[in-house]
Amino acid sequence: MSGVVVAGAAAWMAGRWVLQPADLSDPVPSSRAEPDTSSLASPRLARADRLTRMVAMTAARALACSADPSEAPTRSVLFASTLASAHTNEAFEATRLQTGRPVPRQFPYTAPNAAAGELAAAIEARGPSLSLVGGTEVALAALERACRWLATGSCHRAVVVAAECPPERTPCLPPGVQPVECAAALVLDRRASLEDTRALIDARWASPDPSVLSGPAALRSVAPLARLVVAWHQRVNMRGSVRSATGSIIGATLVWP
Amino acid sequence: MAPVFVHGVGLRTPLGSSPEVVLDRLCGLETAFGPYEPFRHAGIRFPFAAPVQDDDLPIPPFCAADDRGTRLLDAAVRDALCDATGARDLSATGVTPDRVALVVGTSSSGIGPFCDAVRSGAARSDASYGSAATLVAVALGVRGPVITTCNVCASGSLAIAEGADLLDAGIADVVIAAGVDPLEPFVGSGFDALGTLVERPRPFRAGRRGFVLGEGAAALVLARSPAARSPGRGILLGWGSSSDAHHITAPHPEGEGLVLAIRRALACAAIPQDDIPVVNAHGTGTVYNDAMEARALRRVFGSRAPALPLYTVKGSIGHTLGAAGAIEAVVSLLAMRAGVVPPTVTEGDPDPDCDVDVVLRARPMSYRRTLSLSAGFGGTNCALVLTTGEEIRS
Repeated sequence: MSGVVVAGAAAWMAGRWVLQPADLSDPVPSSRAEPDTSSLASPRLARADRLTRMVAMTAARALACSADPSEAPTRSVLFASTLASAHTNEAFEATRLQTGRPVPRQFPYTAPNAAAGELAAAIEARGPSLSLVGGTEVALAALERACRWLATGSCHRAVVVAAECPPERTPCLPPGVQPVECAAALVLDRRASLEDTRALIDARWASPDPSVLSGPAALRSVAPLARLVVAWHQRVNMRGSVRSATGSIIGATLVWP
Repeated sequence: MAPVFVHGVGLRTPLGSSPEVVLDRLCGLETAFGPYEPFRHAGIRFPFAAPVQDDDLPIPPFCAADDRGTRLLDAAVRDALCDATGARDLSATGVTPDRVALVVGTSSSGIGPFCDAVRSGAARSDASYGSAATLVAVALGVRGPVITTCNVCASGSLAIAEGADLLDAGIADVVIAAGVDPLEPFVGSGFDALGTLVERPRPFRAGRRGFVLGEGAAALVLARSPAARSPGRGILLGWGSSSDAHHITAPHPEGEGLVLAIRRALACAAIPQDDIPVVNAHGTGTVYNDAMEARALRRVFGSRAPALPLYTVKGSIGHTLGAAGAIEAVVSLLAMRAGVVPPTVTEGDPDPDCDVDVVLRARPMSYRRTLSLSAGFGGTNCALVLTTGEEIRS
């Protein structure tokens, strides 16, 4: 077990906060509730695309659970997604095709790391930053990376966010699966001492753990992180793994001391 | 961090696919720009680009012809494996597939097929930024971690850095790290709307206004120990990354994030700044990037900065976005081994805001280290310290 603890956690799905396992079991399509980013003092966020606002709102709620960030001088942001900027990409491309003129202020948000960049600016995170795209394993890959950064001292606090904002007109999920807007965030710190009572967390590639941590297909990459968030809120231990499309396995463990 | 050995490299660029030929053409001040019909058709005001020639872009059996990102990646990865092991697959790597990782950096691979789905109203689309890495990993039989880093213009460098860290952490024994980006009208339209596309770039010179887009891919086979079969291509000595925490399109004016990335890379390599003799700059040719980069170098290298030989390949092959960092890392290794600082294709008067020694003609020089820089949208930065590795091998 590495010396990494969870300082805060939050998950948001289809317009509401996720606090218990039942919230994850039966996702319904998006309510289109507007993500509220007012708790972060960044005027640009209000003009950002939907994915960025979802990411910022969820990270802000997770950060609100944690202690003063000034104690963590080097902060990092890790963003994980399957669809990344697909929602904005679709809107940008549709406008370009219909009018022959792309919308300049939309273009920066077609960058798959725009959400991470805006969040980093809002919380003054100047540490290493990564945006990862992949399948159901990608959020745990970001979590694993964050744990290594913290363990090696590359950063003192890491904010790991997984989010999906499906495109409105171009289905990206298997037939019959309705897409759901969702985001989950974990704020991780290095463990201060053996007396630290916060939940320990770890993630590893090639995990032998046979229990499955993934969730409904509609949640894609967010499900494993959201399940860890719920376990943190419920103050229960959680362990499990996810198998990627290429066969590699990554596992995560959350343990209350 | 322990040094990471580069066993082999693969390149697919607008100037060709043979590493040595690409270096020769760069040193000969060749450019690969020209009118690009897909950009003209898309109504882009400056419809110029540097595409990879079709002869350098085979269509693997598992991939659609219009998926240029996957085609580029597959070709570069197999070239790198062949350069490292003599085989265009994993068969001669000497490790089991579960100990091989693939880390790919991209900013727009998969966008083309996705846009086709938007345009046609297709029932659904499987295309994503991660599609190319997954398809190539499955085709090769990679069973270790498969990771796609999407940090736009720093994606390729970060893929190399992440690959090195997977080795350092003992998660993989062989890592194939790559950067790839195809030319996409979607991306060209966006940069055109922002006013950053030009007909000819002028990196680090007065009057510069932007860049020409290019496409390409580069791959590096990385391992913790020297190559048994060949002398290898060089060594990654250290890396550093950072976030500007400033703005998603404009770099920090004083290069705050890039300074942090360079200092972290030097610390990771455990070398002082005066051990860096040459810089392979990001050098996009935009007003803000080049001035920011010059200021960052001044902050790190002090009075040495104006005399530090510096070059960028973007004046020859364009800005290849997610592929750029990987292509530039490969060029850095090739140039050191060849004993030359490649020139920068640019024009115009020097800019007092860019007080750097831009190499304008291929400069013969014996040197062992290069600092290769990347910066991009989202305020992301990455610095790599590369070396020929003679001192480590001996």
